[in-house]
Amino acid sequence: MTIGQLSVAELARRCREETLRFLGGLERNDAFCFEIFRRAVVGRDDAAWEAIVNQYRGIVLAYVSQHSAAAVLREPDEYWLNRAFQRFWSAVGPDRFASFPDLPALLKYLKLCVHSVLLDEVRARRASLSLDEMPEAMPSRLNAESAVLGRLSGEQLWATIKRELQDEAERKVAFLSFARDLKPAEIAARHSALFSSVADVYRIKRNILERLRRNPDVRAFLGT
Amino acid sequence: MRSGDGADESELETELRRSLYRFDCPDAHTLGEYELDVLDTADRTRIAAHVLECDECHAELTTLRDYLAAPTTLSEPVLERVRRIVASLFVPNPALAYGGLRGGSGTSSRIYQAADITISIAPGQTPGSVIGLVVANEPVDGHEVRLLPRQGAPVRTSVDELGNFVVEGLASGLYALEIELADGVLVIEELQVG
Repeated sequence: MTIGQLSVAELARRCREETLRFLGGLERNDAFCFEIFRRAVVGRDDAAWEAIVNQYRGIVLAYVSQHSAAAVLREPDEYWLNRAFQRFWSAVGPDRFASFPDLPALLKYLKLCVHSVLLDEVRARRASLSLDEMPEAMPSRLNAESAVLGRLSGEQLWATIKRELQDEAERKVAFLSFARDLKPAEIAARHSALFSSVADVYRIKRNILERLRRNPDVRAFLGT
Repeated sequence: MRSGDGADESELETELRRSLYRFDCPDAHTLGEYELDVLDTADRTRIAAHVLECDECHAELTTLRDYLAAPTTLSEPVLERVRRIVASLFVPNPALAYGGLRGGSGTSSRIYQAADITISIAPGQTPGSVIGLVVANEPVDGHEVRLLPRQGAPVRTSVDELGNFVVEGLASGLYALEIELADGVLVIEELQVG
């Protein structure tokens, strides 16, 4: 019987056997585990997907605990586990499966999914608060849709703001303050040729905020 | 500046940062796909150019590279889920009577336990055979049973709908017995046959 003819249950059993061999430091045959991924991703087979989640649950939890952001964000590991598998499911469709040559490539991508769901949350909390306050932030529960909408609205808002800015110095201060969350001292240090002092940056930033506060387009955009 | 203006500008600055923070950066997942080289040429070129200019994305890529390269160690609780569940021999209270396994060749049945699973093993009626009974809270019918000799290929059978299994044609010697479960493999590490 070829691998393609095996049932999902049999594939899952053989995949588990081979994983045990791998954990025992023995050579393993990846074909069974790879076939389950293929059926789940290309065939959109629910039973195969369930087998993958069961099989790799432990490894994904290990990926989560390995990431430096997990301890800072302080959500249950199960939360990131579910988000990571959701990210993998939505990112790897039938048309992309061919770009994964083997099981290690698939597992590396699964590890990327853990990283990206954690970093999405880090970025979202950083956007809401200053860096000092970030560890105490409430979770943003950011999803892919809101991330895309956020990016589009940011581009539109920046285009609106740029029309208010008078020169390169103002554009630099506005961009680095709002799009990069840099403090005036950091901006002055990075661009000492453009700004004579930290006080210079503070002055420019105050002027920008004063002008934007009076701009009806900016206020309407922000809903303030 | 009026006193209310300061609070107003602070709120405005917070809103601007919330809306604009890294608006021009690729999201973390796309950066990761760039690192894994699974993007198309146009996206790869665009992101490469951005990373050259953006300290935050450059730092994030460095973090990602280190993370992907780091070996993953499974903790013991996680390994337990994947690994073997070793059954231990159950020593019955001498005051209780155990009638042995139906179909067994005498009173030489042995009982093993692991978690909420009990396995009774006894020599079969014919030389070189072993019969067993699996009692568990989860369904085990159809699950594979393997007897692994110290050398040579395993002998396989499966549990029937009543929880029984029979293995025949075994050479005398020491075996390991494995029973497939839903989330692991139950193991009797040493089973003497013959």
